[in-house]
Amino acid sequence: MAIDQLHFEVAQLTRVEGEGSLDLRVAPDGSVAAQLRIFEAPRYFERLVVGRTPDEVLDIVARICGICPVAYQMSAVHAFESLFEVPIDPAVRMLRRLLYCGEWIESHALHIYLLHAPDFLGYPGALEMAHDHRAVVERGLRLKQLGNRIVGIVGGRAIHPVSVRVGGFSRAPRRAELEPLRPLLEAGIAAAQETVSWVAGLDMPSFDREPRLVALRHESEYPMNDGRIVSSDGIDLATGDWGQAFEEIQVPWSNALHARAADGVPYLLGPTARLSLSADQLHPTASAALAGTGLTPEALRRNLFLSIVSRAVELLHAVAEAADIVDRYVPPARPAELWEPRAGTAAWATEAPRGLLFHRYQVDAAGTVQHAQIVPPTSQNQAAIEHDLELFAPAVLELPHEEATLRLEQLIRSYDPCISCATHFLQLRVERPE
Amino acid sequence: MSVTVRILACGAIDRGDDGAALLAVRRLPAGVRRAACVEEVGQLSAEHLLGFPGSRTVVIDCIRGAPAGSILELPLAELPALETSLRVSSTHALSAGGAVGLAAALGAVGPNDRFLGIGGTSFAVGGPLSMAVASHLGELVERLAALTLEVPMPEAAPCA
Repeated sequence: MAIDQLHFEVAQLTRVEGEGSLDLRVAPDGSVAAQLRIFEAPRYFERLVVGRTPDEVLDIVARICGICPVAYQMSAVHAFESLFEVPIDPAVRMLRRLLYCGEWIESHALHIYLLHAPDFLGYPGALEMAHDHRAVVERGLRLKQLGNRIVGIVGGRAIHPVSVRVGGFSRAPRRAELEPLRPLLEAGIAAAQETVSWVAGLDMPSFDREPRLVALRHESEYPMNDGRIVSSDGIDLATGDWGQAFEEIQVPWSNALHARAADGVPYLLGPTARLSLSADQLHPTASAALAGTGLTPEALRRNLFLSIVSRAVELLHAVAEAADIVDRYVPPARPAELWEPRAGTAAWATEAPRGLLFHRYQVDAAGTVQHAQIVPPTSQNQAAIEHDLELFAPAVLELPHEEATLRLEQLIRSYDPCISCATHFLQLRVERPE
Repeated sequence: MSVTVRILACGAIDRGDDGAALLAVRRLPAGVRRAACVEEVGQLSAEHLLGFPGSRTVVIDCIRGAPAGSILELPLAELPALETSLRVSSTHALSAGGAVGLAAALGAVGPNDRFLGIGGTSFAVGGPLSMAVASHLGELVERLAALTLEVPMPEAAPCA
């Protein structure tokens, strides 16, 4: 096809969290330039936590996102506990994994059923899809409700939980409080298994490329709160050392900082990265379900549209692991350990539903935050999104403009971008005349 | 406990008028509370509306865009249209009307279900109720009590 210049524009991305647009231009020589324009206003959280104590930080950063507040609390609390060398009761550690499972369940169910599935089935949104696929949407809502229920019980409330404290929790639930979750989790396992089978059967666009993957990896469990930062090409760092291999930069078209590796190559975070790098740590139930689809981690890695399958497998993993934790739960001897502040750098990364979330705090001897850096997964994924759009665009140029635009949007939604998380900070440079 | 009415109270207690619905359910007389299953849900989601076997669900919330202190009652199924008329929209989670629309598509919104709202004007974090909302809060409680008690109780339903 002879082209002058093609321009694809999505003025307002829908079914993503937050406000952004896409601008993609194809030049006469066939070269493609994509810009994910994030225009949601900056939210200055890194400045808001300066002068605050660690426990105050936990409540403040939870407000960055209504979908993944636990992730912000987990990265922050582990950072502080690492610096202050707080010993953590194994029961508290498991309770935190249960809390994180709740968030993964809620977030993954939301994205699979309400945000992403309509793309594959040809609906503009979940509401229209619900008319024709009532049982499917109800299944998604029940799973989402299960996740919220877990976060509500362990975290004190379903959205923006309040129970996480440095050293543990402000209150640990009694065993009897977790018991009502058991039948819900059993039903949830069945629903999540159905989810895996269902999404694996969706008609997937073809898209083959070789991404660089980055995620936590742990020697004996699927990555959430602990492990090492690893990549598919050999990066291997402690959770606090993200800055040794990666950095943030600002681009003129986005209110969210980009992140890049030292060599400038984009990298992919999130369910596909985690699953590819830690498939051997999946819960047996999730592993069996993935095997049942006939898809391999290799296939999931190469076609980003299959991220909905990776997300569904992780959804099942989280429900199954939550059931195991509830079965074995014994409340900790005390909800939180005492701790003493010390001056230094508190840094840690955990696995938010959308990928690696890195926090770094400079604190003084009283534990007061002097400087903060929060690097959310969507911010890190921006460069990979743009890179994938540029790779994928030539495959849709022959399609009618509207359909091609829709495919490009679908690709963006495969990343489950959370723009509200990403716009936590904007570097402001004021140039004054001499 | 067996009840036939469920009340879903929306809002945030620490954001001025946004806490009006929560204050209203907390001020319901004990006899009314016993007749209803009251849930403070904060932000309404479609799943909150699924699976209640009783006769009526009442969603109570503060309305941005309506005259401050005005009380509005309408069939719950009409909430999406009200939001459209008030130009309410969300780029993040589904709005309350969006959640109701999704639940309605799933057959989870019945003809007896009601929305009860009060117009708000002040939503600052840590702020108090506006004078207009504070002066009409008693009326909001009375309307909520009436919506609860007017439902006959032909068959008991569990408060899930």
